[in-house]
Amino acid sequence: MQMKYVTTICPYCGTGCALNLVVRDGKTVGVAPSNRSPVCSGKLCSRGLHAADALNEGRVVQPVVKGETSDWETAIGKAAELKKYAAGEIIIITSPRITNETQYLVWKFAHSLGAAIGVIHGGSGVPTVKLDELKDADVILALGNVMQALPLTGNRILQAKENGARLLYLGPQSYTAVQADTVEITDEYKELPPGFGALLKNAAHPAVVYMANDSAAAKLAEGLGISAAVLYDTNNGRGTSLMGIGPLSLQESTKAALVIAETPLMEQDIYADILQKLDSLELTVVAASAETSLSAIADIVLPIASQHESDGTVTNWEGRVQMLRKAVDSPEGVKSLQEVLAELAEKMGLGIPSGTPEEMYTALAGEISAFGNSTYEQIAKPEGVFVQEV
Amino acid sequence: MSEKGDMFYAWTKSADIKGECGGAVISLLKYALEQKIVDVVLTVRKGYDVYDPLPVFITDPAELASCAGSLHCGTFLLPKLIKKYLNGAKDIKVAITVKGCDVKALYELAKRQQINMDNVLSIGLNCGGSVSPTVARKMIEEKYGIDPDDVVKEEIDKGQFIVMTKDGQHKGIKIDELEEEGLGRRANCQRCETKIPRQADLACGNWGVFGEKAGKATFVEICSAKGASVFDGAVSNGAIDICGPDPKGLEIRGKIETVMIKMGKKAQKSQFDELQEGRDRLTTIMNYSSRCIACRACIENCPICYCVECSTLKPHLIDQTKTPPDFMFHLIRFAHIADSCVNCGQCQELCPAEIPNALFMHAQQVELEKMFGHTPGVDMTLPVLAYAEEPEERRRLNDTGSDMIFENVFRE
Repeated sequence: MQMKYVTTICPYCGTGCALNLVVRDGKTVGVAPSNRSPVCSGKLCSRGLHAADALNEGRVVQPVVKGETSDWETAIGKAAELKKYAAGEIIIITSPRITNETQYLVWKFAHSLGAAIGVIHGGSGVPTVKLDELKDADVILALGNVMQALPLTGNRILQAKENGARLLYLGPQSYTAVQADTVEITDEYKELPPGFGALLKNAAHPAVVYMANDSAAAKLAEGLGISAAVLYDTNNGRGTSLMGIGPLSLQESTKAALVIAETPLMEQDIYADILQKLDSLELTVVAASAETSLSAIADIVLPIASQHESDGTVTNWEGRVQMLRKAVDSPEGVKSLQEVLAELAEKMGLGIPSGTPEEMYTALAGEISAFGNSTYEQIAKPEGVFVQEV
Repeated sequence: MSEKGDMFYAWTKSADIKGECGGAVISLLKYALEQKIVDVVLTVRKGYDVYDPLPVFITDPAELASCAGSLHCGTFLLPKLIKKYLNGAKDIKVAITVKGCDVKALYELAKRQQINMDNVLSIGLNCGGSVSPTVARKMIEEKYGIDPDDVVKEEIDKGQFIVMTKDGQHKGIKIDELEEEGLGRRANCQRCETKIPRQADLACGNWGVFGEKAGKATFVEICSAKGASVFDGAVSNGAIDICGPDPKGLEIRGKIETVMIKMGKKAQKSQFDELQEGRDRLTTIMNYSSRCIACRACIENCPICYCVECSTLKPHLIDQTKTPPDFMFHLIRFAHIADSCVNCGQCQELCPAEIPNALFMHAQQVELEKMFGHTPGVDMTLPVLAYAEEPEERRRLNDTGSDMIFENVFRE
């Protein structure tokens, strides 16, 4: 019997809680707290507590071409037919749940191809407050059910309340509404209810909290001119945004797509809205670790390693870059996203960088200045490293 | 030959073991593993730094040397890992190091047939309390004026929490002073009365090591026949050397324990007083509980919770779609656990909604103990709500066709 703990980052929301995966004889069998984490002090929500099996269900272990299982050579060969399309006809749809290093490679791949790239379920916006600073706010405005979406960020709002802060809430009936002192229940927010503005104006340390993919909230928050916690609800949504990868927009001219998917259990189907459009494309190539709704419409499915099988870094909503650690080997027949991109690039005659995660981080840091202040080694400490303001 | 109640100074005879107080604990564990008295050792090792102790499952005796030394940021509970990952020691022999709360959890799990104690060798470690890593770092930065990353060692001695930096700087601050400001040990540790875990097979520590052996030996109290046999074996095998304890040391050890138990009782009084009484206490508990996000971390980490079918997951008791859940969620936990709560603090420390769950549960346990006389975690005596073979019991109740508790449970 071989048992060990592997300290890594939760695959779910953008708070970036560290956790220990309990690994027995090469399999993830449980989650244990990482009390050392400055983000969560060992506390986890229901999703984090289930991180061990979050990525093990419904694994794809063999390439699929037109609904039939296939071998890698055939599948990559078919996928390389993407090169038949003009740059303006291809879209790369990436996931906000892959590491900074692999996201960088996807981005380079898109660049090299000249194709558009967009992220699904990512977000945009630059937070101007850090997680722990929320504890010191005296008036907090929550737009939407932020405390349930990111429970350990909600934890800081509860701590602020314990320190005497007043919580204002605008949004639908929700957990956050129950916690708030002043509540305005509404399905859409265009303007602040009477009284909210004065409370925020008279506060010494006011802060507004909203989701990075909530454009109505962003608009409202911008007008306030106060510290903003912009919450990304995926583990690397912020990192993706820092690389300049914006929300997906599918054009009429799009004929082919390469989709990178990483979908932990218990998450909503983020592809439901674009499924029909993708189905109508001439060629849809999906690289995914597990079955998704995409499997049904994909022309080619390429099985890739999941987060628990990869080394790398992720960036939480605050901009804290933290280390993911490989806990287990991939199932037989599965390749890393990096390998898949390299093989596809070679077949398509494209040039993309290659190397270890550390080398990829260094390349990323050299190109995207937000990451330019840290080395891979520095990120290994439990505090991680904050990206720099640029 | 030693027997229950005997006390010794013990120290390692191996040059490879650098225990801070004689290394007897590591040597005993190594002896047990080498002699195949156990198959695996479950203990703690420093992870990234002194603030990051991590449980380790060791099968290779050579790896044990790296586990030496005490780490006061070790706030977790080990026994539930035996249930979760080692099949309750039903088919594997385990040696485990235990603080007071750990050993109490071990007994409560054993009572509920979740751990087979026959296959467990428990080595007790005196514990004056532990400090959450996040609190420790904050306190070292703010109160000690030291960069927490520069600290290479910490210890609790003579009522002070002392840190040593990489440059050899020492600084200590009285724990009382830290705790007045909400720093220092976890709130449940402050309330704790189990300082020398005599329910374990051996109780070890540095309290009472006096005279020329100070700092060079471990004080060992033999607490069971199993403990005696392993201890005697380690002596005759040459793993450890021993001598009788200094009488003055015995006296000091007794004094430390008495003082700490008194402090625990005092903390109980002040913390429970703050909770108020009767309806006011209920209101406080209800207010805090309304923060619950139903993540189930409290249940997941509680050493008393073991049900296959948890009542809090039954839709007729709790609406599963509501967050926060109805207060019934907490009432079920109180009803099921309060009589056996060992005050390990996990339900509070790991609560993402900052609900002082352990305080609520411990406050009730103390009252239930007065009513029913059951002290959790000291021996194998069953609590008021004793173990039932769950699927069998459910079948039996179901077969009666009645939901009357009196009919089903009490009228045999």
